[in-house]
Amino acid sequence: MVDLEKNIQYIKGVGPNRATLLNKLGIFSLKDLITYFPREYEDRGKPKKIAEVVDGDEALIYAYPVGRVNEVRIRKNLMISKLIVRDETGSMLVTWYNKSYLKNIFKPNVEYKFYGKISRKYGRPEMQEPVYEEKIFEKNTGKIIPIYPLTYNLSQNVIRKIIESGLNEVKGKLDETLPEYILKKYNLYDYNTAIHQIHFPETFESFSLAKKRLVFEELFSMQLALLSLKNKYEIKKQGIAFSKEAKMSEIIDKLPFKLTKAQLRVLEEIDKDMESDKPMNRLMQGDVGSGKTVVALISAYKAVKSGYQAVIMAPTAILASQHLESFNEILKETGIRCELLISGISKKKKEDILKRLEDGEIDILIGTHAVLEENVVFKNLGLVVTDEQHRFGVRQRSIIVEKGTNPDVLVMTATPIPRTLALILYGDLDISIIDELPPNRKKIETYAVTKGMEQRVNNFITKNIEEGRQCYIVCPLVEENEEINAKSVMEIYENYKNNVFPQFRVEYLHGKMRPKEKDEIMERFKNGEIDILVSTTVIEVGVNVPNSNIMVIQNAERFGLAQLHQLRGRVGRRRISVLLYFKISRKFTNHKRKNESYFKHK
Amino acid sequence: MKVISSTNDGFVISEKDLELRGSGEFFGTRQHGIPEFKIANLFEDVGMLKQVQGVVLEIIDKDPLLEKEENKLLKKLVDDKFKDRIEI
Repeated sequence: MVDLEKNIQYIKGVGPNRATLLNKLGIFSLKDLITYFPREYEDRGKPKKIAEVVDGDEALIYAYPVGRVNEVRIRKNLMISKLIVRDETGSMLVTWYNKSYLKNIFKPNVEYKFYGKISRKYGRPEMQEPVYEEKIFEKNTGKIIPIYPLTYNLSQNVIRKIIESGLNEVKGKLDETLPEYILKKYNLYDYNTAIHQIHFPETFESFSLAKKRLVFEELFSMQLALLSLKNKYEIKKQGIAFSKEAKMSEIIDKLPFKLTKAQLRVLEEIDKDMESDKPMNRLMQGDVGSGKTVVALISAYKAVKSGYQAVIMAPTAILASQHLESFNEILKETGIRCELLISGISKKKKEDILKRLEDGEIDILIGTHAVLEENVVFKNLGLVVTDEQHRFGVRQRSIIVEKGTNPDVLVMTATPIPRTLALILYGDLDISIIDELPPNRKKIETYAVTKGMEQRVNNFITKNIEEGRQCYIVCPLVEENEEINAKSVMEIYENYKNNVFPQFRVEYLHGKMRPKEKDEIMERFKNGEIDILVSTTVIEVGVNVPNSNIMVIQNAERFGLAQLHQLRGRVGRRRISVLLYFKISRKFTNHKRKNESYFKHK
Repeated sequence: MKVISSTNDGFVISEKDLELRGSGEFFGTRQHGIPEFKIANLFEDVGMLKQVQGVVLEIIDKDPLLEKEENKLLKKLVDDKFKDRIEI
C-alpha cells in the first residue's frame, strides 16, 4: 500500500523549502502531487533540420557546437551567452541570458539537442533560451514534455523531477477507483496507467486516453455524489404538506405590480412542492432584478397561512433589512408579523425576538448568519429560504433546516448558470428559473473605454453627481487576498478624494473592514450622504441604491462576463438608465484578449 | 466592444463566460462553492458530462444506495467526495 497522504516534504527531491513552495500551489500530500495535472504539453519528439525551421516555430534541433560560448555583457545585469551550432543543413545562433554556468558546458564534436523558439534574423535562424542536453540523454527533450501551472520560484524542470519521483513511489500501486465493469464498458484506462500517462505521455494518443479516463472519473464522481445525496433525501424524509387552502393568489392580487410570466411559473412549481408531503429542495435562479425576493415572500405567505413559520436568510445585514422593508410594506394589511435578526441589534431586543419566535409570535424571521445560532429556536419552522446561495454552504443550510422538522427549502441565486449545466450540477436540487425581467426595467447602457479616456469618464461622473446622482467605482480583484485588494482600493480612493474629485464626498469599502463599518458605509451611501463609493466587489451582493446611476469598473478585463453582469445590476435597479464604464488597460494576456475580442465582435 | 452591452440576459452571458473562461474560473470556489475541477472543463467536456449523467442514472436506478458488491468502489467514491465537503 502507498500512503497517499504522505507529506510532500518527504518526497525525494523536495525538503522543507520546496515543500513551502508546493504548498502555495495547493500541493500538500503525495496524492495532491500526482493529481497536479499539466496545463499543456510540448512535443519535443520530432527533430527538425536547421534549414527547414520557420520563424516563430518551437523546434527540436540536433546539432554540434561550433567553437565556444561567447559571452557578451550588455550592461551590469545583463549578459548574453551566444553559441553557434550546426547540423548538415546549416547553422544557427543560440542565445541565453545571464547563464554564466554555460560557458564551459558544451563539448566540441558532441551532438546536442536544443529545444526552443525560433526567430529568423537577417536570414539566419536564432534560438533563444532553449533547453538542451546531449543527444544520448532523454530527459528534457525528445519526448512529450508536460508543462505545469506554476507560480514564482519553481521551475518546470524542478516540478517535473518532483512529480517524477512522486510517480515512482506509486508506480503500479494505486488502488483502482472505478469498478471493472465501468472501465470495460466505456473503454477507460486503469487508474495507474492514466495517472502516469497524463504526466508523461508516451504518445498523444495515450495522453488523450489518460485525459478521457480522468475527466470521466471527475465528472462521474461528482454526479454520483450529487444524485445519491438527492436520493437519500427523497427516500427517507417525510416533509410538510402545506395547506391547499392557503392560496398564493390572495397575496399576489394585493401586489402593487404585476408578476412576470416567469415568476408565476416558478410560483406554480413552488406551490406544488409545498403542497406535496415531500420536503421541497428547490433552487431558484434569476437574474438581478428578476424578482426573486417577491417569489420568496409569496412562498413565505403560503407557509404562514398554513400555520408555519418561515425564515429568510440573507448574506448581509443590509440585504436583510432591505428584505424586511419590502416584506413589511407588502404584508402590512395581512397581520403577518416579520422580524429582523442581525448581529448588530441590542441584547435586549434580541432576547425579545428570540422569545417571541419560540412562542410563535413571529411568523417570518429575516436575518443573516445570526439566525443560525443555537439559541434561535422556532415554534414550528416550515419554510427556509436562503438568499445568494454561494454564501451559504450545505452545512449552514443543514443547520437552519434542522431547526424545523424537514422543512421545505428554497435556495435563491442570482448567478446565472447555463441551463444545461445547472440541471447537471445541482443534482440534489430541483431547479426553477426566472428568465424574464419585469417590463419597466430600463436597459443598462454599457460602454467599454480605455485608460486614455479617463478624463472624459471623470467629466461624465462630475456632471451626474452635480445632477444629484451617485457613482460606484469598482476595483478589480487583484488576487485572492483581501489585504492587497484593500490596498488597491485605498490608492484609488486617496487619488479620487484628494486629486480628482476633491469637491465630492468620496468613501471606500473593502473586504478587510468590519461588517459594522461596511454596513455603516452602505447605509450612508443609500441615504445619499456619499457621492462616490470606491469599493472592491463587496457590493456584488445585491444592495439596492436606486439613485446610483454610474458604475465605473476598473480593469474590467479582470472580471468574468457573468460577474460583470452581476456587478452592473447593482446600479440603477429602478427607474434610471445606467452608464457603465469599463476601463480596459492595454495589456492583455491571451485569454483576456479572447475576452476582449468577444466584447468587440458581439 | 459590445457583448455585455448587447444583452441583458444573464444566461446568454453566462454561457459565453463559461466558454471564455472555462469551468475552473466560472465555478471557482470563491464565486460559487462548487468544487473546482482538476482536469474536467465543463464547457469542453459537456459531451462527456451528458454521457456520464446517463451512466450515473442507470447505476442509481439499479442500486440506489450503492450496496451491491460491484459498486463497492462507487460507494467509496461518494463518501470521499463528501469528505471534501461539496458546498452547494
